[in-house]
Amino acid sequence: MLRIEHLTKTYGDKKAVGDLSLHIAPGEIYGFIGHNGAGKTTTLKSVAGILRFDAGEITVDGHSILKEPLECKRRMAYIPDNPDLYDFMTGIQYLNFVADIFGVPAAQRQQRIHDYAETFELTGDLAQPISAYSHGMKQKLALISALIHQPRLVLMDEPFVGLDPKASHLLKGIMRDICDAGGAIFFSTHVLEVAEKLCDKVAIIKDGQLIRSGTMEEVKGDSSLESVFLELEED
Amino acid sequence: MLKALLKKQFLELNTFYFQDRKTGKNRSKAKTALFVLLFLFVFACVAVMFFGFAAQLAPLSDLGQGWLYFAMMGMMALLFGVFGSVFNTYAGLFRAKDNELLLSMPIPPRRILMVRLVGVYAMGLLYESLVMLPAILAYWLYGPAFSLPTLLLQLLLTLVLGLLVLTMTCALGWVVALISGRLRNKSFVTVLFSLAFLAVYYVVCFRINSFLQSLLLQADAIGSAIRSWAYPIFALGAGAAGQPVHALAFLAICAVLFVLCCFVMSRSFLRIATTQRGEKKAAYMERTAKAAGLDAALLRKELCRFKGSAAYMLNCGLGLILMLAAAVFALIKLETVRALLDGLALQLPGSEGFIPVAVLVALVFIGGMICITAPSVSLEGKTIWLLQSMPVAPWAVLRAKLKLQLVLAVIPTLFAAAALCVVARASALDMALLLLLSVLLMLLSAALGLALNLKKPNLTWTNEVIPIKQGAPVMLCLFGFWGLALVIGGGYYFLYQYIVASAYLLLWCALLLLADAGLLAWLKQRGSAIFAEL
Repeated sequence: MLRIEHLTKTYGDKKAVGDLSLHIAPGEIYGFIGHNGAGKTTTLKSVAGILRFDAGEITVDGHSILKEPLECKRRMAYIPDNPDLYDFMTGIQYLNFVADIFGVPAAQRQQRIHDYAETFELTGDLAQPISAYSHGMKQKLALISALIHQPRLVLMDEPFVGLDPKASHLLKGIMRDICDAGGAIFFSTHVLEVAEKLCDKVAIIKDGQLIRSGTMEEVKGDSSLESVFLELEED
Repeated sequence: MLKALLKKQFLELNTFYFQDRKTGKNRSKAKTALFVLLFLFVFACVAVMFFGFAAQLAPLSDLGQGWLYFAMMGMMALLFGVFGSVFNTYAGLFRAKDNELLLSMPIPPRRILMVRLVGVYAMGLLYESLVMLPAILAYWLYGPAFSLPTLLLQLLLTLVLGLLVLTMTCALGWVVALISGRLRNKSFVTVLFSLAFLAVYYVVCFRINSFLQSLLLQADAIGSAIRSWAYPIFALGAGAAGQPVHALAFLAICAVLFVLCCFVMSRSFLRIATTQRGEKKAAYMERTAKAAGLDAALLRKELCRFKGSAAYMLNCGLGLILMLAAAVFALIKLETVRALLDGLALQLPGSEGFIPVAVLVALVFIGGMICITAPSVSLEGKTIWLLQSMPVAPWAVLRAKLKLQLVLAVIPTLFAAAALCVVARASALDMALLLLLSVLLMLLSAALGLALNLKKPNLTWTNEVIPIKQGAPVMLCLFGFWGLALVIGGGYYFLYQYIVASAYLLLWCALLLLADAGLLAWLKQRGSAIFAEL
């Protein structure tokens, strides 16, 4: 579904990501782990089509993000670590805006907004301006807006930050549901316990270089993900 | 403790005025000097204006009504002081960012309040002095022989009047906050109040001289009314005119009011400072939304942003109101405007041709104040990732920004053009050309503003007012259009002997058409690429 081939991105003299290659198949929850500034967000933003990269190729279902960005973006959703949304809109206005952009028919969007807002306990706040939302509420709204067009690929940057325990639990279930329906999730996290329990595959990045990737068993073996990660970081 | 708090307050002011908020570093000496000079220049302009008013009222002292002179100037100072500081009072007193930090320390809340009040007093005194000091100067220049004790009384009363400004500011600030905290459609209400204020301001400016003259003519009647019904005002005036008893009475009145205000506020400070009074929560009613196409959704989003910000509407859409106001004013005062134009035609032989050109100049001049697209890219700010991650072509985003300005501006501009043409008795050909030109102008304004913003975007602002009020694209658009108005008017002045007005208008149609086409082509190709890479 998602193929990242030899991705390279530099900021001035600093190489944020160097020659990174990853393949994510349908049905996979793929965790992306690394220290602060390792290049996780840069990679996710490059896949989302927000950031231009210097070299390499990214394809989603065979469509190149460089040559057919709109085709790729129609198939995916991106949730940043700090969702800055349109403060001048209410929650429901924002969801309808996103649904309009993705061409979600009225009846389907109503049902999905109803279901997801109920799930994340946001229904009562949908008429409120987003400027009045807390960080966690914004995160929930960003999640609902990402799911409203039923994307095949969901990119998430630290999706559990700011969510309450119940919402985190629900999100994990939704992530699994998306993959069971043939979609895929590519997300970054610092919470290694979550990654260990949730991910089918994991990639560890250090200073922009992929240092290990594969199935969870391949990466961690008999140890915990945390100890493997710390060991690799020290090398 | 009080000293430490005052020092913190001073540091806060210093940071606000003399530090770069982006880098946190002190401004350079040259920048600081420029900043101080700019402030002094503005203060000097205001002081000179009030000196002019005071000079007109100065004859009152010759009529033995010196107290009325100070009473009137004192009222002016009070209003100016309250107006100048009321908007910052509530935020400064109760919503200061460090309230929670200070309240968590072993500091009595009353002391925090007192320190904050010192800041509000200083602000009020600054504004009030800009009226009182010129008034005192004018009094001694045009009034009685100089007396040091009276001057000292006047200076003392200036300081005391600051207390009254502070008391009224605190009371009003609280009422304003109480109302605004519960308002829906805050942006529209702010715009309406601002427009009403602008209207009152211009009416007062136009009529201040006649008001002052009528005050002089009815000095006795007004004076006896104030004596009978408003003793505090009389006490202020009489005290400043050299009567110590009344000065002391005014001091006592202000002190009592101030102590009362402090007492009430210190009792409620903790409760108010720690209570969030949000507006009433809107109830969500689930209903089937009408699905819109991509273009309509983007346009709706732009409109939502525009009407959601009072600063955006006022600074970039004022021309919309002025277009309508100009049209209505011209139609209501049709005969007066025509007489003015006829008078002009008699004075300048051959100037009939200037009239349709003058209509165009007026449209360009007002049109410059419609620059909705100019900050629109910058306003995406930190939310730019949304449009970049969605399946939306950059050109569709830019098109929506252009459309918003055209949707909002074309009808008022056409209305203004038509009304001005009727008033100016323009020929059918000139009218048709002016209507076409008004559409081309709005397209130019929209495209130029957008192009400038793409070239000079600011996506890292911390307050949306920065790209709206301080953004180079907005300034360039405004002054560019005013410059264009000069070029159009000046151009015809030099060419009218060689070219008739209709041909001149046609020439501008062609030029604007070319400029619009060029800008739109640039936006579609290069502009879209720039937006994608922001």
